[in-house]
Amino acid sequence: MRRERKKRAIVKPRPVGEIQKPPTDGEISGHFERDMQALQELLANSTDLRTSIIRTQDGKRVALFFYAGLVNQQILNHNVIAPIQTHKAPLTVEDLLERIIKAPNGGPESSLESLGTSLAKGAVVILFEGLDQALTVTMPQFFDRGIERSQSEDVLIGPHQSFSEDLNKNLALVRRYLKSPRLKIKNMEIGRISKTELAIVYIEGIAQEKLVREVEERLNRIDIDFIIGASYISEFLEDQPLSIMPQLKLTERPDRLIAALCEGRVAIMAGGDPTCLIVPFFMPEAMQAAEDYYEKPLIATFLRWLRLFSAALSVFLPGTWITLVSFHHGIIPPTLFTSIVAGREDVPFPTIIEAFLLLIAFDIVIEASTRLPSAVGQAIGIVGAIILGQSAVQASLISPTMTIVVALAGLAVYTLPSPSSVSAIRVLKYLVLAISSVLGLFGTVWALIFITINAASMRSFGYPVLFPVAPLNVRGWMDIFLKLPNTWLPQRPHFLAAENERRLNQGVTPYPGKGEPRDA
Amino acid sequence: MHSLQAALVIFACTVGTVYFPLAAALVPFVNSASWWVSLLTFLLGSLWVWQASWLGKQSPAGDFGMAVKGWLGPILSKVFLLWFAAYWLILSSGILSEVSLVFHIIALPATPVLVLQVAFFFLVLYTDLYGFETCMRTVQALLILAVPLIAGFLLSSVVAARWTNLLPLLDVDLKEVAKAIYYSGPYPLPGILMALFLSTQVEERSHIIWHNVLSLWAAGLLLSLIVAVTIAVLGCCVTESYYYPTIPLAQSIEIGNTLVGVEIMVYPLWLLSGYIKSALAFVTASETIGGLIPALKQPWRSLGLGLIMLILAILPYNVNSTVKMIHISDYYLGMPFYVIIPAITIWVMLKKRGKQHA
Repeated sequence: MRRERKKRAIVKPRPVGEIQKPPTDGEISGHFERDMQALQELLANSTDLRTSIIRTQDGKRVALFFYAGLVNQQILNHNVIAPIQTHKAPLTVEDLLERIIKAPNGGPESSLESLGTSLAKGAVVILFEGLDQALTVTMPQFFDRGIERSQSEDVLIGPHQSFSEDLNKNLALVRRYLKSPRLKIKNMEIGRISKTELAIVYIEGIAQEKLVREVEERLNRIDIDFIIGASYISEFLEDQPLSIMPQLKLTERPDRLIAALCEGRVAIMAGGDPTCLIVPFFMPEAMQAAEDYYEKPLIATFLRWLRLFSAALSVFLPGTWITLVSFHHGIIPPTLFTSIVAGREDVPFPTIIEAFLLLIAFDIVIEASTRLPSAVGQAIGIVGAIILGQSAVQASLISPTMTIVVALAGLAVYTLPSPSSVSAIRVLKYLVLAISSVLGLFGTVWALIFITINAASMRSFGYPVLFPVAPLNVRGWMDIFLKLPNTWLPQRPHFLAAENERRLNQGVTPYPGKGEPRDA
Repeated sequence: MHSLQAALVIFACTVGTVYFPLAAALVPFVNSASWWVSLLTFLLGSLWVWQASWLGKQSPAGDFGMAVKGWLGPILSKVFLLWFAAYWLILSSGILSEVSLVFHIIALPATPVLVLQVAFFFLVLYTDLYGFETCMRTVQALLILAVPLIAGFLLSSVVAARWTNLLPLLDVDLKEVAKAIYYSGPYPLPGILMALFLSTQVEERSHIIWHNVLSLWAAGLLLSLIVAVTIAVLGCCVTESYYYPTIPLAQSIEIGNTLVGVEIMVYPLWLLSGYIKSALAFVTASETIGGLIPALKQPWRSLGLGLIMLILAILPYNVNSTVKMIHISDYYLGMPFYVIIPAITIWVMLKKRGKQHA
């Protein structure tokens, strides 16, 4: 036991991200035993590593290395092991690749470090006796959920598909919607250890080249040991990562991604994450839901205004209520004020404390119901809303009017379809409440100006996030604050697709032109 | 920057907080004719906007300091820039002081005015630290909130209007009209000077002169409408007796039994417009000083100028002294621009003609 401890103590811990140097000069030497030993030492201490040695017809040894779970073993047996075992002629790399091994992705490799990386990505490394190159062939087997409904952006009308964690499947989904050779996908790899696959997706001729270049450059600058998906890298891409306001659009719906690409935006997708990033992001777009484009234009416009009103209500209602009740109650009609005062008669806390306590309680309930399994979460929501609220009012801990104000402000934010905007608003309402409780209406307006300055200072990949409000662009309003019929929106956003603006041919209308018969 | 965005900022800067005192400034001279005299003042002001925009168009886009240097030479340009910055700095201090004091009196008597001044000052300083572009975008975004508030305020006021208060329409002495125009002269001035400043920054200038002139007209029309409604609701005597007749105007209105007064609509409007004008004034002063003394970098420039602004804003102890301070900025520092701008325009025109002949 003592000796074992001593032995452990002298093993120097390996720095994160650094691969242990093999005993050879780092290359496949052609000496089978030595290369085997080098590879085994490189991959030591991994119980999921599988090694098997087979022989060809002429007795040459062939070693196969792969990680269990990453390789489809049935295909390996059928397409690799069996052909090698039945082959008679002396082997060459070309023969193996072109005639013997039946795998689409394969290639010779002589660096031990590259072999290690390929193995980690799900390849099979094949070492041949007498050859100074090893082969890597890919026959991956990933466990992935199917195409499911989006949890965070579900709709009643329109497609229900959402992305999954498999990047290739997601890219195929995009290609199924956009059957154009102008759809370009640039692959990258980020993460020294995780080697996460990333894809930059855009439409050539619509997306501005400088935007694509900027995305590439920002991604290339990321030098980190591991990333988990696209949403993880958003803070590396944002101009102001400390800001609570979103600067990138996140979606897991293919239809939203396609619409963004057709407007001239660029998407970043990553393996292991169903969420993809869309740049640039304009804050007023947080009011747009995928459903708007499957609804009647006037109904969609109404819904957008409802969301805008709800967002404003959520941020400013608690603060304004405190302001009115505590500072400017002269404005409230006497009958209303009397009933508010009567409701607060037995409440022991000042209004501000009451509001803070209730808001925090509400957010706790929301957070708990999000984390809990859906069935329990619903139950918690009901318990929180009905039992906690009613009991608190009956116990005179809070007033009924404050319950209504906080519940309304808390629920209103969930009309927004953008989860990142929802989170920002949930935090902002506390800021407004805090300042309003000190400075009354002055504080409420102060907070509004402060938030506006912050939003106005922000850029998303060089574009001001308040566009089309500031800088003002009335044409941009037509698909933000209004939802005009598509026949009235013949152009793409000017800001994004300056070189290829027209999306609808001139004269395309649902009704017949002059002189054409109107009857069926 | 596009010329339409510049026009919006000029509109915002001209309207600013002017709609609060304008009616009271005109009524002592021209009584019920105040609204059209106000319109006339702004129509006349557009001549200066035209000159300012033309001057801006003569220099390469981007730097106000360089443009002034091109018009006036190295020494005179420094004097001009210093004067220009001083006008805006004192104006921003005056507005900061005025907004805080009035808000303290009408809405927050228990809160010390210094707290409001410092809070308001922080916003202005914060804007300047982000630079002129952020300031422009903030102003545009807030303008979209302010315009419906003004429209709502006007519409709810119209209900209580007695239009006979606006009669007689033309029974005024021309001398008094001239006096009224002179005394209301400082009101279009921020718009004119902002047009001068922005015209040198705008890249897309094909319609800049018309956009700027139209924005001043639009501001003048809105302000004249507010003057007309104020007189129609309060009458000339009541309007004259207040510094800010818009406040009793708001207090006199009732909408059903929902809100007892519409001060709730006017308070935010007062703060929003106060911020818009004060921030624009301060940031313009800061940018001008930046052009004058390039070595004075941010954040030191903002902090230094901010300190001066705060001290100047704290100095006035009541509304009277605040109004006096704004008068200093308006009449001693501002009014001479009505002479200086035409003089520079003629000078630049002559220089241009001389070059063409050569």
